[in-house]
Amino acid sequence: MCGGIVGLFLKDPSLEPKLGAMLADMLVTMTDRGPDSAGIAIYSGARDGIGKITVQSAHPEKDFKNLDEDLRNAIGKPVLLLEKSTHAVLEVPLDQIEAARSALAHLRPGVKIMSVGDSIEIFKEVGLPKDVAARFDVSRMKGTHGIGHTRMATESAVTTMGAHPFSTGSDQCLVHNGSLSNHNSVRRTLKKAGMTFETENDTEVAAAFLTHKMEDGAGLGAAMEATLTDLDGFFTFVVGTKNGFGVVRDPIACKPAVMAETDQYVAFGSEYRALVDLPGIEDARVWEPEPATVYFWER
Amino acid sequence: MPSFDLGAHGLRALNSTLHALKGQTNETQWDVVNPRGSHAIAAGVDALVDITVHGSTGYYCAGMNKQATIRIKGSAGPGVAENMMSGTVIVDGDASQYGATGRGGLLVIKGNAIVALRDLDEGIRHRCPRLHRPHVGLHGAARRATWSSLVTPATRWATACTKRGFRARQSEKPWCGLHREGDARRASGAPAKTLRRERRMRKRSPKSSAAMALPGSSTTSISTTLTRTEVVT
Repeated sequence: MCGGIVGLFLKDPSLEPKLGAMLADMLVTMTDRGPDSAGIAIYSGARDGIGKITVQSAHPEKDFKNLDEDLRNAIGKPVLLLEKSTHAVLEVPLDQIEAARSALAHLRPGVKIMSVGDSIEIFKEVGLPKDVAARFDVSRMKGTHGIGHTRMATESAVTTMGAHPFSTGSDQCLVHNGSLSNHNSVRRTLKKAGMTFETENDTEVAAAFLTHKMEDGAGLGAAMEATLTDLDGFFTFVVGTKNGFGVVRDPIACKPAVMAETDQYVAFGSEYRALVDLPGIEDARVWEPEPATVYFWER
Repeated sequence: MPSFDLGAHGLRALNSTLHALKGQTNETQWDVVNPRGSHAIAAGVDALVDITVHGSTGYYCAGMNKQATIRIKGSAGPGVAENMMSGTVIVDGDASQYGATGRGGLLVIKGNAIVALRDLDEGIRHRCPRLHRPHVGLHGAARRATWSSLVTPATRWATACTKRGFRARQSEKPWCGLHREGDARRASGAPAKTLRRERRMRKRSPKSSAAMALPGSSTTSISTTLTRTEVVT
């Protein structure tokens, strides 16, 4: 698929209340690259003992009604439901996350899980980036780091589930600019290893690939290095984890990428114009990530 | 000395103003301020003017340039000076994937550049339909990786790039591309008949020279049959 990627990893806590506003601006700037759909993953910080499940429904008025009570009755612990248009964030005790997931599949089979973790929330929908950002009130979101994506679909359908970011592991997400050519064969291999897939999208395969590698014991860096040998195609990946943010480009590196770093943040954009409104950009170190090189920042 | 605020007036107004400068003009020195990473800044200029862009640009800056001198006081995104016909483009910072299908002129990149020779390879192939593979000569340390990229089939090119990468290296003593071409072709397993045919074609075709360099290295030269575009870093 094609599109635009934006990412922001904040080093300065005073910028955290503005994370959503900055990411929304960057995302809308990338509309020309991806008008089909948009999505954002925000790491809004973990609270002790609380986990979050972000869900999506095509019929939110039906599926989200009394969902918190039904889930509380199923797992026996308090559940908080925060609705945002077609998505909702369920806050459950951390030790009940898996029980809540199983209960959801039973109570609301039409609901799709967007993300699971301590800190991550993923919102993605079909439509222009500015409409998606307005729908979920992205500009009011706060957090420590986030990744956004605008999509121009190339090899699978324009659907909510086909939008990025994809999350296949706890507090993990991935966005992709490019097109993988061996995603079908990698998907078959990962299915045999027990991974499940919601779509035919190539990016979902890349996300599952990283999750599978990390479940096998590899660190994120090693997992991202493995994409260079095991995935065929052209790609720029931006990966989010609970505490960090990583970037890798394929060895030919024809999909664009620009990064900017100051004492306050590390930013990523598919185009430099996505970064021009960031504070202190005139004095930032601006560079292009090298091909076949993994970059990672962690707090 | 006209100064154009791109942030205030927009790209279409800038480029149409510059396109109107055909032939003789007394307004030969132009400043463009607040580029804000915009794309296609000063694309399609065809006049003997000197344009300075104060800041970093997006994609395709100075594309299809003819006659003008365009200076970028910052970095440039992919496609800078794409299909340049003549004139000079000078980038103070870095450039990404520059100079594709360059037909003439001089492109100077004072910072880093990546994946450049892949783009030039594409340009050469488009201009040399009769030659199955363009004959090129390379100076500089990157000649082995890029040489195999230009004379072997596309799949082997991709493998060569993956293995060796397009990385900055210290330059080595320049060597004559024609001799190395033969060595590399023989090493690649090309049949002798193909080599003899290509030598005959080289004798018949006029030669010009183009120069290109990789980040951090000195000038890398590439000879082609049809183009004269020089890129120096």
